[in-house]
Amino acid sequence: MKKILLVCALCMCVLGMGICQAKAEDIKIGAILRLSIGASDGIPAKRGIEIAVKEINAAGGINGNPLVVIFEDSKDSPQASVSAFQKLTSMDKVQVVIGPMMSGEALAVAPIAPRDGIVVITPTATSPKVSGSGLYRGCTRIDKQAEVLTKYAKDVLKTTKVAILYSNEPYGKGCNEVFTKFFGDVGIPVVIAESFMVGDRDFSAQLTKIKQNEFDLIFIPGYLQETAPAISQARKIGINAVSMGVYGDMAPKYIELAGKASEGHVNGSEYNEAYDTPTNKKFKTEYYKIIKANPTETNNIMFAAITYDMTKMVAKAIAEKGYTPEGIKGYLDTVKDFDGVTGKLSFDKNGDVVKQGVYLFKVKNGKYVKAQ
Amino acid sequence: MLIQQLVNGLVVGSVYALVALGYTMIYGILGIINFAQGEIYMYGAFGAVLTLAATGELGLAVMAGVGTACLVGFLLERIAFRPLRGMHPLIPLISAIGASILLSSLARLLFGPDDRSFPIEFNPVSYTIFGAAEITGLQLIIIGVSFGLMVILSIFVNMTKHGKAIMAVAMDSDAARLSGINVNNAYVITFLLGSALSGVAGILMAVYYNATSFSMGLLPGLKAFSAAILGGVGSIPGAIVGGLVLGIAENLGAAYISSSFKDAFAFIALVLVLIIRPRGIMGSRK
Repeated sequence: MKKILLVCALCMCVLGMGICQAKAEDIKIGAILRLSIGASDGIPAKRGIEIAVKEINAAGGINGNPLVVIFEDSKDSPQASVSAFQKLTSMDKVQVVIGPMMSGEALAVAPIAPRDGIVVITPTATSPKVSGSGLYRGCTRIDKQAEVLTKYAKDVLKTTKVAILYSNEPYGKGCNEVFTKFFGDVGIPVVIAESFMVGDRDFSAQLTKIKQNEFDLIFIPGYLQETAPAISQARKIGINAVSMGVYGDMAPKYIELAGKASEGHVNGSEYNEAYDTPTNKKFKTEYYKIIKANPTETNNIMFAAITYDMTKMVAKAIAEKGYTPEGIKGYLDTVKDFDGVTGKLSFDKNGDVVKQGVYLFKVKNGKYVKAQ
Repeated sequence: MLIQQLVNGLVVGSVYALVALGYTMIYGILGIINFAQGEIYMYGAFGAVLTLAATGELGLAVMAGVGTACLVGFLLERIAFRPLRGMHPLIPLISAIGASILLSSLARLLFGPDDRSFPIEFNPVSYTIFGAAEITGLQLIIIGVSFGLMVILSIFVNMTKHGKAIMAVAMDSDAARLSGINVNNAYVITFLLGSALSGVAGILMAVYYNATSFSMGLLPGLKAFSAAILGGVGSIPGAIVGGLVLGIAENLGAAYISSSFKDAFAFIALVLVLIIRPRGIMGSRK
C-alpha cells in the first residue's frame, strides 16, 4: 500500500513539474548536438546557442516571449538523432531544430523533417549530399572548402605533389575522395594515400611508407585527436612538407597537442575571430567569459560561432514571421546579408549558407593567423 | 623501408612487451587475467604528465607516474582480487573487467575527456642505422628502457629471494605456503612489479605519442593481452617475444598490405600462432 502511495506521489511530482515548466508563452526550439561522444565539438556548439539565447532573452525575448532551447544528445548515431528529433517534435512540439552536427545524422533526419513540416538547420554537416535535401546548413560544403584549399596549395604554396593520410571513417574518407578530385583538377597529383583508425596513436607504419615518396604537401583530414599526433610523428621522422588539414583541426587544442610540429599548418575555417563587427566582439567576449569560468571545457569558438548565428537567425525569423515552419522558411529563404559573427549570411536555393567564403588560417608562432 | 618498418615495430613491440609482462606475471601467479592492466598503463601516463605540468621536474614526474601505477595496482589487488581468491576463475575475471571500466570512467571524470600533450617537447635527434633506417633518440630510449627493465626483471625473478618466492608461489601456492613463503607478500610484489612495468610503458607512450587520454589504455591493453597469449601466458620470455612479434607484425602488415587494417594484423598474427601452437610460442604444457 505504501509503495502504491509512493508511486502515486512520484507521478504527481513528475506531472507537476511538467505543468510548471510548460509556460504557455515560452517559445521552444530544439537542438540535437554531440553532447557525449564528440563532446569536444558539441559542447562549444551548445555554448553558442546558450550565448544567443541569453542575449535574446536579456533583450526581452522574441516579441516579449522568452526563447527556450531543448538540447538532445545525438550520441554520434543516425538512429539516436532520429529518435531525438521525434522526441523534440512530438513531445516538445518544436517547429525548428538546430542540428544534428554530422552529415550522416543530418541525412537520416532529412527525409522525415519535411513530412512533419519541421525546419532543420544543421550547423556543421559538410557533405555535398545535404544540399537540396530540404535542410538548411550553417557551414560551407566540403567541396567548396576543398576548392579553396587546393587552389591555395597550387597558387600560394606552389605545391607540386601531395601525400594524403586520412582518418578511416566517413568524414576522413569523404575528404580523401573530394580532395583527391580537386587536387587533380588543379594539377597536383596525389602520390600516396594512407589511412589510420579513429583512436589510433601510432602512425609510424603509414608515415614511413609515405616518406618513401616525394611530395611537398601532406594533407591530413580527420579529427584533431588523431591528426595532431599524426603531424607531430611525421615531423619526428623527418617529413618536412607543409601540412594541411580540415575544420577538425581548427582549435587551440590542435596546436597544444601537436606542439612545434603544427607550425605552418594550413587549415580552412568558417569563422574569423578578428572579424571586426560589434556583434562579433560581443560574442567573443561572452564566449571567452564562459571558457574562463570553465577552464577544463573544450575551447572551440568556431562551432559556437556557427550555432550562435543560426540561433540568432531563427529568433529573428520567429520575431518577424511568427512561430510557424512556413514563416521561418519564408524568412530564411529571403534573408539577405544577415549580420552574423561568421559573416554576412544568406541561404541559396539548396539551403546552403552563403557568406564571404572559407577563411584560411595558418599556424604561426603557436597561434592560428589568417592566411588569406 | 623494410628495416625502418622493423624498427617502428620494435618500438611499439617493446612497449607491448612491457604491458604483456604485467599480464603474464599476474596470470602466472594468480591464474587470472587482469584486464585492468591497460588502465594501469593510462594512470601511469597521467601521473607523469600531471606531475610534470605542475612541477616541471622530469625525474619527479617519472617517479610519480610509476608510483601512481603501483598504487592503482596495489589497490586493485586489495579490493578487486584478494577478496575473491580461491573462487572460480571467472569471478576475478569479471571483477577485473569491472575494475577496468571503473578506472577508465574515473579517469574521464578526474582528468576530462580531452587529450593532453606531454609538457616537454623532445628534440628529434635521428641516427642512421644499417644505412637504411633512421631511429630517433626517443625511440632508442624507449627500446633501451624496455629491454633494460626486462633484463632487471629476469634477474630479479631468477636471482633474488623475493623473485624465487614468486616463482615458487606460481608453481604451487600451497606447497610454497607450507615451506614458509609469505604468499600474500608474493602476490603484492607481483602486482607492484606488473603495475610498475605498465606504468613505465604508459609514460614512454605519453612522450612518444604526445597524447594522453582516459581511453589510451584500451587498445594497448588488448594488444598486450594478445601478446601475452601469443608468447604463452605465464611465461616471462614469452611475453617479451609475443610483444615484439605483435608490434612488428602490425607494422609490416600496415606497410605492405593495407594500413586500413593495421589493428587487425595484430590479431591475425595471434590467431595464426594459436592454430599452429595453442599454448603460445614459449608456453609450457601444464
